Amino acid sequence: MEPPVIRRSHGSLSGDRRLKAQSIALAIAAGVVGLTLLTLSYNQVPAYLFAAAALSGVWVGIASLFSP
Amino acid sequence: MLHTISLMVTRMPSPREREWLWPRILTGFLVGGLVGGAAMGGLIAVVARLIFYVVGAHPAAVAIAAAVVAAVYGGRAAGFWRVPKPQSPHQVPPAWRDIFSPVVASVVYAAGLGAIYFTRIGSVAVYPLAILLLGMGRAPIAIIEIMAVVGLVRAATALVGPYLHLDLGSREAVPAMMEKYASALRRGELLVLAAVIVAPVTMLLT
Repeated sequence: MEPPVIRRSHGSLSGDRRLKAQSIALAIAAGVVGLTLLTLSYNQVPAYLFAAAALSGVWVGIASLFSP
Repeated sequence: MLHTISLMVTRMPSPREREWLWPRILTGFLVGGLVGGAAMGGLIAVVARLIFYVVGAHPAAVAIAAAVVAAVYGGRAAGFWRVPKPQSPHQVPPAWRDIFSPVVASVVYAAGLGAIYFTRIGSVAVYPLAILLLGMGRAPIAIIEIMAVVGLVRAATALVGPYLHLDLGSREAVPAMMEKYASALRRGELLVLAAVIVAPVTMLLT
């Protein structure tokens, strides 16, 4: 008797891996762009203002993941 | 937001089309978030510049004002008191995803999300952030750059979609995930607001 074949309903397993790899690549690209922009803005304002704005801004973005 | 991106992908009939579409939608989201955030930053920069021309630059006062607002909303997040949370009652109109192609809709939708202040927002950290940005009128480009990052990060949260397989789950999958991480979100919120409160103290030390 052959073992049951598990199939993913949304596509192949290799396609799933490829998609996850593409997500990581996009996340890295977004990280590079984001850090570049933050670096550019860092010297324009006092450090404590920059730190507070960057931290709260990035948090607002992350918290959106959990908003409806 | 995760509902929307999932729906756009699951509208495609075949798995092959979905695999083809996912990365394009995610790229569209990132571009849209970046552009929308920068546009919102431009809008804030205009107002901040006007404030700067009228009252000048007072970074210390801005940091203290932001700290006070952070304390007020920190108390709200901790459940100590109730404070109004003014914001748009609606997210970006979902009809957009039916008007445009999935990729174009992703860009437009994420641009709307990236605009932050015209959408429904989960975190109360947006209020001290607004004070901080409005007080940076001397450096309008910095306002645009910071808001572009905020829009980009907001859009980049869609990158978890392929990992969570939310497009395959029921409509309850996203609310269930949100509930699961609600307490962690609250702790993170309090931590960030505390950091904004501490900012003026570091200013005094330097």
